[in-house]
Amino acid sequence: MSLKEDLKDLLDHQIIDPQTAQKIKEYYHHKAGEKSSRLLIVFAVLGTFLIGAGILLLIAHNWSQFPRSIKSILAFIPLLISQSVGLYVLFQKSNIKFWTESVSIAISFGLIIALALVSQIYHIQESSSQLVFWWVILSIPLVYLFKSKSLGLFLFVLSAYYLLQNFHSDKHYLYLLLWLLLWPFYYGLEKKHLHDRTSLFLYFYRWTIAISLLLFVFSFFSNRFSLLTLVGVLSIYYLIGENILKERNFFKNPYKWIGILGILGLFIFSSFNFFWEKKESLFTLQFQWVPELVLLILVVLGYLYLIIKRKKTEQDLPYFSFLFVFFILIYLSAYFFDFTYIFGILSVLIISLNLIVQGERKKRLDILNLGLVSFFIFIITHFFSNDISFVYRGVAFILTGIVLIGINYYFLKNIKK
Amino acid sequence: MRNSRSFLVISFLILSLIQLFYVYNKIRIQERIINNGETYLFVMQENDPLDLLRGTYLELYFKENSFKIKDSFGLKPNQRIWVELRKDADGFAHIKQLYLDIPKNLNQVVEAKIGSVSGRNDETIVYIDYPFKRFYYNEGVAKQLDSLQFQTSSDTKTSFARVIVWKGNAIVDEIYINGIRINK
Repeated sequence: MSLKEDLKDLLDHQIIDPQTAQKIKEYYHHKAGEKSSRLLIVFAVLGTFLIGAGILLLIAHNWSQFPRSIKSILAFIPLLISQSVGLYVLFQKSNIKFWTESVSIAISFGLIIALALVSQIYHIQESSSQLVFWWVILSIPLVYLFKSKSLGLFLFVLSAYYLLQNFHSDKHYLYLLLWLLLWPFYYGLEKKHLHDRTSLFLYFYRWTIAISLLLFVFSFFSNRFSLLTLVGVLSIYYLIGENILKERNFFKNPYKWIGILGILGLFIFSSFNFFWEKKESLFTLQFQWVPELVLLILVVLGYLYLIIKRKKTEQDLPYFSFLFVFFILIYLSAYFFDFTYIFGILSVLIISLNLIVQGERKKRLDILNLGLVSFFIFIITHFFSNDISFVYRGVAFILTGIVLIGINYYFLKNIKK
Repeated sequence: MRNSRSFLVISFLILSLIQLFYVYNKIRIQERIINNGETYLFVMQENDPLDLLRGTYLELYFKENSFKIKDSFGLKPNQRIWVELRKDADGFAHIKQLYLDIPKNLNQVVEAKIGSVSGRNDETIVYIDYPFKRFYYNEGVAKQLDSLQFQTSSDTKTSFARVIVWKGNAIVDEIYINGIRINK
């Protein structure tokens, strides 16, 4: 049924009055108009980019013919044009999302074009990370002035790039500065999300931030990163996901799933003998008190919060929260036994079986598949580590594939019923 | 509503000026070096010119890139160092001495990094990483380089870079290979 018929039907049954019907009609009419103008603007933006790039190429072709002064002036042009458009947008179109989003990105790119051209003209020996740092710093205000979600996300990604470039240097602290400057904008998005849960963008933000924070922690602990700190960080990620974000969905809750996948990965590693072979390096810990202590306190507080919260609502503790403690026990057992990997093998088997059963019972396909996948990764990696002929390996892979598809098919069919 | 808009516009204008000024300032610093600095010629090592290509720039290797000292002074790669230069009659640059801290008189001095240190007996050789190793070019230069080859005899000083030095800063202005000027 079309909208018109729907409205007529609703009018006939006196569910809405003629006034409301008119309003609804106008609303949808307006919305449709907005959509088509959006498309127009996208093409306009693309067109401007193409024209700008074309002019740049033409200039670059005859670049060496120009005297230095003209080159320097030309370097400003993309920035100046985009800034003027930005001013126009602030005056006339500040409520139209597509204008604010695209012009803020255009200004940011105008800036980097100017900086890169000047570096080239004068052969300035600047590392790309230095260039990126100033690019981000000088673009951050644009995010707030234009309320530009896409630029904000882009700058989060760029600052992660900056972090990777300075992974082993002291400069990774400057990443925190970029991060803190961008954080209020992200926080605003989270707050808005509480009212209307429609922002797909927000999940990209969450993933970008979760991954780059993890990188920062790696970079922070760098050479004294031990297995214990890794478990600590993973459990904090899990606890953030469980306590603060609370969402189940993989896409919506990066913290929870990075924690879970991380600890399952560790369990699979722990089922190999080589993992425990270098006992000395596993148990000689390089502690610098404060960071590790903070980590420990955070983990304990997170667990306490989780336990209290669950007691109040009379829910069981989530299954995954035990895995982190369980892994620590296995780790400690390596101090006394030489065959810890057998505990590893047993625990992978128990955990995956448990996940499969749980998924089946609770009718949750994600949990079921998590169990299956971790079981199969375990099998496959162990097959690769031994001298088993290709024929057997091939048969094993085919069988595991068939089982994976079969169980999912059977399960989906059952749910539909 | 109107107030908040004018606030937005004013902040945007300020931001735009800061962005423009930042770019302008970069140009200004470089122009100051070019206008006030002294020119030195740095002889380049023989090399296949096409080996210099690094995507968007040429990586230059200079002959005058090491200095012998008696003690190693605990020097480490990447450490900052100040190189005092001297010019011979033809205008070619030679290293006069090295400073571990910023010298009071910055004339004829370039701030650089230590590339590597090698020690043998009582002698330590410090290799210097100059801040003017990169020469950006456009696509035409690659073709130009293709037709050139460095001359093999080491006496000829026909392949060199013109470097302008001012108060510790330096920028590479032009390069010549076999006496032919390479266009940017």
